[in-house]
Amino acid sequence: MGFRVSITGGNDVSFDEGIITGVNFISDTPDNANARSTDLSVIMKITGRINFSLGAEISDSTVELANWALMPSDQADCYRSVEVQVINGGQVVRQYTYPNAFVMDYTEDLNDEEGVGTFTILLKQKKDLTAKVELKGNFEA
Amino acid sequence: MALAFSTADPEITLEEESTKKIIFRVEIPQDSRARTKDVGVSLTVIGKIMADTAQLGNAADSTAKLMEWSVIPAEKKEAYRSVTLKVTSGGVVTRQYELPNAFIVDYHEDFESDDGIGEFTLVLKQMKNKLADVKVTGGFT
Repeated sequence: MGFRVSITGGNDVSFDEGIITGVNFISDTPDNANARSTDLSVIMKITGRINFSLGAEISDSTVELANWALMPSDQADCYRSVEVQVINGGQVVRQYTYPNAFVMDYTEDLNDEEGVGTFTILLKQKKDLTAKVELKGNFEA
Repeated sequence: MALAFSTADPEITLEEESTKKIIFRVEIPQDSRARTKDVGVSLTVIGKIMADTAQLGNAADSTAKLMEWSVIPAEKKEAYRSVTLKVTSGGVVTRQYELPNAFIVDYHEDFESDDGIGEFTLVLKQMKNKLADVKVTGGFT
């Protein structure tokens, strides 16, 4: 199972199967609601490797995620468009597009055992624009 | 044991191989001094997201319809559906849960690069003022 992530609307970056290790789509409403809540959040969690480019042959673009996470909210490109594809056996099982995503949480974990680092980025579609999220499933790659 | 999940109006029928686990829960506050009126019913369904690698472009399962349901806003009628879950064991329907006015509280899709398939978690609740309409039956052929 492979993942492709492309982020546009600032410094454009894209990641493929070599970097991304996990993708979680979360649609979240308050758990104590008595009926369907209008308070709907659409969230995306992406985990991956920080491969560190030796000799700078391929630029390690995960640093752009860290820069995005640090960006203050008064800048226009703190909202970016994120497209995530889940591919299995030549088929796009899922394609999620969040046109106005912002960073809710970002962590990088590094240690002296693994050789590569890992990152986790938690994204949310801007809440008033939740209806603009595009969710597709099951088509040819 | 086979778990058959289906909704009516609009219709979703999950394939039996898609569902792995269900949790039916009656939610009662644990801090009450006597029997409370604040009773809720929730149904959690955990299952697989598969790809049809034989016929590209065809859906291997109906889980994409759950994803679409999870982002339907509260003001639409389709946010509420009638849900039936049948547990069949050795040719006998051991349990049948019916939630005639169910809505989604949470929906997750989880993909990891070391698993061949994805996993979804669907958390449903019966609309609280229609709690009396929930039916749990069982033991019939």
